[in-house]
Amino acid sequence: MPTAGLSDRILVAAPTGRDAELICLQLGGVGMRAERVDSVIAVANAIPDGVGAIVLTEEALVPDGLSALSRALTQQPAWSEVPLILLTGESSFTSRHRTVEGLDGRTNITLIDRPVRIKALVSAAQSALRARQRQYEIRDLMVQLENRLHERDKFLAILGHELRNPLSAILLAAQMTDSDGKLDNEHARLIERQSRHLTQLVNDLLDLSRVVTGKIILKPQVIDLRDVGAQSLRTIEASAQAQNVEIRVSLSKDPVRILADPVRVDQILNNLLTNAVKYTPARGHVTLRIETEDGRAVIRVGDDGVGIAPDRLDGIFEMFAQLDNAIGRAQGGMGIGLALVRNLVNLHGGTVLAQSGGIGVGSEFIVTLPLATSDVVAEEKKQTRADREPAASSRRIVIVEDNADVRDLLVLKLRRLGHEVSGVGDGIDGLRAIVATRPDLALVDLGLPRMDGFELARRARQELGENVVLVAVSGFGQPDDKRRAVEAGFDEHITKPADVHDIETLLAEFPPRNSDREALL
Amino acid sequence: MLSVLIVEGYPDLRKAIVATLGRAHYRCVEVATAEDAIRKLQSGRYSAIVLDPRADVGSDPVMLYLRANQPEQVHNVVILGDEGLPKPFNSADLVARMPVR
Repeated sequence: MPTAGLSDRILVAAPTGRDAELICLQLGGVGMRAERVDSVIAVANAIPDGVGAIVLTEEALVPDGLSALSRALTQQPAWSEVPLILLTGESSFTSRHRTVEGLDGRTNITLIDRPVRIKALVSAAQSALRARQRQYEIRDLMVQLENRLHERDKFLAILGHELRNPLSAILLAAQMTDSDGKLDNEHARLIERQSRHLTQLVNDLLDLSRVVTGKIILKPQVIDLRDVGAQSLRTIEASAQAQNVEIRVSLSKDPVRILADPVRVDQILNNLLTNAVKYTPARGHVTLRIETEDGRAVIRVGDDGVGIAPDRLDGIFEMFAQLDNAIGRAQGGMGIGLALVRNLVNLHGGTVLAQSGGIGVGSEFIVTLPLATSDVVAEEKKQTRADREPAASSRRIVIVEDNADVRDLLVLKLRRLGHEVSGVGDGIDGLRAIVATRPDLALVDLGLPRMDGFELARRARQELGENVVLVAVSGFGQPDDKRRAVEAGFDEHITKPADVHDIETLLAEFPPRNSDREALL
Repeated sequence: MLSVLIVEGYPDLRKAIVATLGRAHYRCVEVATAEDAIRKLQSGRYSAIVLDPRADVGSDPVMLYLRANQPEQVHNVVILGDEGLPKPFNSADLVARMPVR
């Protein structure tokens, strides 16, 4: 692995006169880190430690050096192609050709004829470093993917393991039939209980995978969080009573209006309440509080149960986090619920965190969600009488916009027109949503966090080809934006604020392209 | 009647093992943790021990205790899992591993 800090240096080997010194001076003068090296062999030896680019004069390429360099370049990892700038000498075309051939296929060579113009050298070095930077990005991406693959393998191994206990219980209980082949009540109930448990596990897993791959399309509407809270309480009441756990509720006097998918909010609350009850011994208490704080909707689910060790708080939302927790496992918990909660909360632009004083002193889960803006509430009211069924001309649209208010309002308005619309807040999630849902039209803000609109468009085009209409939205008013947007793969460019009428016009302009969409889903 | 100590942290599985061995005429004593298992071993003798090696039970403390204090018992342990009887298992396979009078 290259040493940190060495990866952007330019190694310069030029044995004649003051060449090396002058080259270093010029490159250093524009802020590049140029290091003079004695020979090409030294360059070859330095490559494994990390290098951004190499500048050589042709005289430096003595036969031994050429073969050492060639060897070092061959041994680079798959992602690496060190850029090499060769300042050619007076030699004939044939000998120069031979030199280049000696390294060919092993690296990316730029030839600059001498006498060298400083501008040409600096510009070649700059583009070499940019190319190198891109390679580092690919390297990092590969490491990330490898880690993810490793996590997935670990996940599958644990999952396989965790399925064994319920399956063992079911198999043994099913073999408890009497001589007539009948099963007693107790074992039938055990089988039912464990089957339900496995069903819940499978449902959570599927939901989680849908969230992670962007396949859950939220159907947000303006809801009063207190209503969802009351509904979730009804679901949990029976098991709380069975376990002799008391539930205390404190709801805000005023409505707590959020723009959210009620099914998913219920799922969030259900998971948190089920956990709280599960981890609280008999005669314990679970509390649910729903209120507005600092302009956010806040849900607090607390209990005076087993608590969480301080070093486990951060990782509690990871999959299978409670694996080594005796109570969780005994209760048949798999540690998927909280991972699902976090993903669903994030999908709604919210946050979730866990607090606990430690083992034995209970814990509290705090979810915050953005309140619905007054514009959104007003729009929703207009909609109450409107037909929410998709119109005949219903199209699938993804809005990628980091300003939540702008996004939510647009989503609502388009949905009101009968379209199937989802909204996401950054470039990476946006790309994921576009690839997963294959919309008719995607409206993409150019200045997005995590991945800008240009990059998103390039990648979306790579994935989907022409099967999506990509519309860039920017407020910069830069004349350059339009050209860059088209180059990146956008079909159209509009200036902020994007209005429903603009989008309707565009939809009319671009009839459905992906008629094979259903088959692809 | 031979007695068997069941050490299994997953309640419904423990229940099903007790029922299975009970029907095969073994007297079962059940515990959920290694700590309780050692307590039972200190105060009584068992013809066999069915042991879940998973984290919440922890077979190591139980095996260490047996090796140090009742080495003759070590070969009477049936480990549930890949090292012994892989889960899920048939009731007949479990019963087949029990000692006969």
